[in-house]
Amino acid sequence: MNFTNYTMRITTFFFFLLCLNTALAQSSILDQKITIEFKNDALDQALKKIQSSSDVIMSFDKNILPAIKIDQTFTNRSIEDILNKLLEETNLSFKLINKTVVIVKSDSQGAVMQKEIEKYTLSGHIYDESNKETLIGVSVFDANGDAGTVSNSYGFYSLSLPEGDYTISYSYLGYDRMTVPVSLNQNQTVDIDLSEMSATLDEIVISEGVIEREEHVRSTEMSVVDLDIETVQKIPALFGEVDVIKALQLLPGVQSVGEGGSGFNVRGGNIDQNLIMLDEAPIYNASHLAGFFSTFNPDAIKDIQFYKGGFPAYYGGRLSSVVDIRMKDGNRKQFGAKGGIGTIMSRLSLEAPLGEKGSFIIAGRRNYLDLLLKAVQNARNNGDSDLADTSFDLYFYDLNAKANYQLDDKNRFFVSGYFGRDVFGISSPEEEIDARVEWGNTTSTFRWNHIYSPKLFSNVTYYFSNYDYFLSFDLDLFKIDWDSRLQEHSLKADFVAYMNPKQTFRFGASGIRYNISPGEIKAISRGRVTEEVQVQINKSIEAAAYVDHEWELSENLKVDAGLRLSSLHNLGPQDVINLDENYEITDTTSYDGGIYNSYWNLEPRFKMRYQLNKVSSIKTSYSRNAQYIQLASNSNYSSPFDIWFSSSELIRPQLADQVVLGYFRNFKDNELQFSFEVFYKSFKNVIDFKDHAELILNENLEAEIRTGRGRAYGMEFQFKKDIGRLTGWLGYTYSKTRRQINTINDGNWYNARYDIPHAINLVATYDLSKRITVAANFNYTSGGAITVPIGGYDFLGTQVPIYSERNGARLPDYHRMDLSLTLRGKKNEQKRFKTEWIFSIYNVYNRKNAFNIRFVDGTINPGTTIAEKTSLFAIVPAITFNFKY
Amino acid sequence: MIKNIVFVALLITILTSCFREPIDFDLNDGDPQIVITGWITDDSTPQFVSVTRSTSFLGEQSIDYVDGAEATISTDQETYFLEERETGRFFLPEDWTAITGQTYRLEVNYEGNNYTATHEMRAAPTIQNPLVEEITSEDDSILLYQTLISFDDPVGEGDGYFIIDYQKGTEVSDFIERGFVGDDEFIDGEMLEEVVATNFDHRHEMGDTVIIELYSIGQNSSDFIEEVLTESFRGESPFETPPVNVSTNISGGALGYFVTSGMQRVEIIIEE
Repeated sequence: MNFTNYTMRITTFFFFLLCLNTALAQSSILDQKITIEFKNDALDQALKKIQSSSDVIMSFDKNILPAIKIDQTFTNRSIEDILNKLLEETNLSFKLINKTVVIVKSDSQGAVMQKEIEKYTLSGHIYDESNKETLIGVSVFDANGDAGTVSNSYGFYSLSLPEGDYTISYSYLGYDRMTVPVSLNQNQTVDIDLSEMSATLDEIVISEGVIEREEHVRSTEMSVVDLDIETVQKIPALFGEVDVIKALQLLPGVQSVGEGGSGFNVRGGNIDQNLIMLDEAPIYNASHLAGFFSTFNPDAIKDIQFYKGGFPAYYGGRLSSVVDIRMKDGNRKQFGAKGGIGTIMSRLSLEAPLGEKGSFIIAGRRNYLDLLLKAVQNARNNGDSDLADTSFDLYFYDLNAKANYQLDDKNRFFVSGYFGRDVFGISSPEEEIDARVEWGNTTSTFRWNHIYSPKLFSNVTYYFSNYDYFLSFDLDLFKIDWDSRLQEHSLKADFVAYMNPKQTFRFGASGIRYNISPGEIKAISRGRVTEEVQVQINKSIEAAAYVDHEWELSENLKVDAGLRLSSLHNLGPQDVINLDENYEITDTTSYDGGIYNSYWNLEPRFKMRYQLNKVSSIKTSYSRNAQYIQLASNSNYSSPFDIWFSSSELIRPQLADQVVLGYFRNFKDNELQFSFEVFYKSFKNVIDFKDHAELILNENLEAEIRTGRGRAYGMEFQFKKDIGRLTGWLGYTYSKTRRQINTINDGNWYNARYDIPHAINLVATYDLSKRITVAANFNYTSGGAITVPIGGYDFLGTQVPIYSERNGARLPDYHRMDLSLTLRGKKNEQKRFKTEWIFSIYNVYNRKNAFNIRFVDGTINPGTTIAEKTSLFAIVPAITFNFKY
Repeated sequence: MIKNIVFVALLITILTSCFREPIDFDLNDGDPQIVITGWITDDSTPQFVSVTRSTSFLGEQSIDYVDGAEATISTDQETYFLEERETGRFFLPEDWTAITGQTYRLEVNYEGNNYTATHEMRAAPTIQNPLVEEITSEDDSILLYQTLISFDDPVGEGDGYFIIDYQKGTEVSDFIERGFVGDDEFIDGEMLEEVVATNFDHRHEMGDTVIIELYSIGQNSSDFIEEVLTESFRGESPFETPPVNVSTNISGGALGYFVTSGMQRVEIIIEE
């Protein structure tokens, strides 16, 4: 079956299902049969009794109700029958709006008065009271009904309700719930300041945050994790450095590329299939120091949304995950500072108001491995002038900055940026050598929030993202410079229409311009350029548009259906090679400027939740994703020198279809959340590289690439508790990831390198007191898939290995436990300066996990080959001092 | 300089608490496979091919020669029957004369199976202007030397070279590992000047007599040796490519490789 047709059929089926459920939902509510007894009740009391005995909401003006008493029992009668009976002797009638029964006056002929029941919109922003940071994901709901919404990524909310008096409740985990009486007779803007809970250890807080924990069951979201930075900061970390990416690696369905590495694989996806965004700008290499640290400074981060499936239509461009990281906006109330001094790096952030309507934040980090090196070097030198003249650079730094300004109630602007750099260099005048390697990301984002109406929110974003690396090797008379760069400019607009509490409609469009310069090498001899190699610059445009409709069809059934149309357009001038069936280059086609090749893809997205009862639901999702840019990496791990390349005439876009089915349940008054998800993911046009491929500075990269298919499937369990003294989660994942690509592994299916069948993660933090917190995490996984020799032979004195199937063997199982102890300074509410010490131990029982295995000549018995494992980390203790002002 | 680099590497190693230790690892050895290897040159030394079986990769590195095979090398005009002087080692007749430009066909029969390979014997370019260059030893205590050669690559892509030097009178047990290999993809028809022939780990001292050999093996064989070096001497860099089998030019299901090459040799004495 043609796959496109298959997709269209699935899409058609989903929309049919959506329409069918709409029809069913509309006719059912007044047919609900109840048994109810009225004992000399006034009419208003009788109506309230109906509300409490059924799913309908009664809305009426008490002043229009006649002073009648009702004394009657109805047994197994429909609500419609009961209402007709109650109102038959009055001049009143009723009409149904969604689930609300509105009592209205009839005219003299008994017809319902034609005055429309007006609906008005309550909207506004929700802030942290202490610093005016907008809060993402706050639950906003009518305390007497079930209408509700959540604040978006900019803290904006919109809730449309029929005219009337309401008590609106604002609830957010870790903050005191706020209730606000609202008399809604016109559109109203209500901005809310929530304050953090002061008594975090009181068990009473468990009753707070119930609503957002109910969202676990009520929303259509699945395969999504909203990780707040406070949770991340509690997890014990390598060298005591809090790391967002390392925290993600502890979630079910996520696997690390290797011990200490920042790369990760999600549900069978390669590392380049993760869209990692900082304020919407993609970060192409999210690691420092060969992956031991991620590029994200925890002091500058407000919120992390992580999607591993069920992707909303407004995300696109990658197959396997989205990591949407939002930076803090900056303190709008007062100057603040935060920082820390750790074993291996220090950090400092400053934030302050910009007048009354804006704020900014600047946050920086730098590690001091180079200073440690110099200190050790000096200690070793003892006056050795040769070594003293040699200097080493081995450090990284990064800087986050963001400012925002609220022009008026309807317009707000944000400017943010990131600059990070890794440097490794060695310089010795005496030895006449100067070698230096640098790499890093730069991003800048400009955003404009505009509220067209209380129901229509928009955001327009322009961002620029750059990843580059530079190598310089200077041997006095001979020098090599090597530059590589990827740049991306993007303009996008997103709109959210809050149609009513049951329906939200999103639409938008985006365009990305890529400029990829894989490499330029200059060989300079005696001051003149003797050789210059320039791989031609690859230019393309990725464009997309989407619509997404979230609709609560009935109390039980909610759907979210979206469609994304994406495209890639290769731009000339460009020389493109042509290949024969053996991947041999036959000739080259030269294209002039303009578009010379395009791809289009329809990406349907669908999510559905069926609520079984108040504490449990089943959910399902289907999503198709297209990816037009990928990493040319033939190694086990991504190196800073890997290059990205876009789809082209010879390399078709990669596609992935993922189906997820899940069961969600809350226990103990929503205190404990359980989820179970089963997924199946199919990949098309997945890439790998031919045996012994040459990727660096290869102008004919396409000739090295082989494409095929892949599949991944598995199941994930998670128990999560995020409130009370004890918080954390326990997760288990079973998964399989396979590939099939012609010419690789004789064309047979083989395990992906990151095929790791079993993974168990336990993360737990416990507040011993207000000042002391202990935390632990335990991580167990099957060993990664590797290829090993099953034999060997001699070729002129060299032992040549014979390999069996690719990735057919496994490293030993991996497991590790980390612990941490946090001691906070004596709490004094009057003091703004707060401190804490964190003592952490990574790999507490000193397990030497195998990072890889190599086969070497035995030192005891030369001429004998032995297997030797390399372990990166034994036990690693660390101390970090943090302060906050 | 090297010690500085080693020092930094060591320090990083300490900082990252890196450990290596032997591990019991079951490789699930496959069934032994027939391996045919041979490198025939136009040199006057005895020329032979070997027929062996593959062995376990772990453990003692032994060669399992097979008994009872037959081998011939032929051109369009002539066929030479190879003599099995030692078990599994088949020598060309002593009166055999190599002809550069000729394509040779190796045929091996063993237990009813027939294995063949062909290879062109290219003429090796003349070694020009062999030089000796002084190198400072790692600890500056003694002077070491390396040799360099120049030669012309003939016009037409497809050439590949193997260069090696060694002290006269010594046996080279690590022939492949010690040599340098390359092709003419980017230097077709050019003069290659001052190409280093001395392996970093086998530098020479004053007074040594050094033999330099230049083999013209063709691009395919050059690629094969690159593959052998990659797969046989894998390090522990996380950025290495996935392990894959080296190629073979033996048809019929056997492993190994058959090379024929012209060879040039010069002798140079390291002296003041």
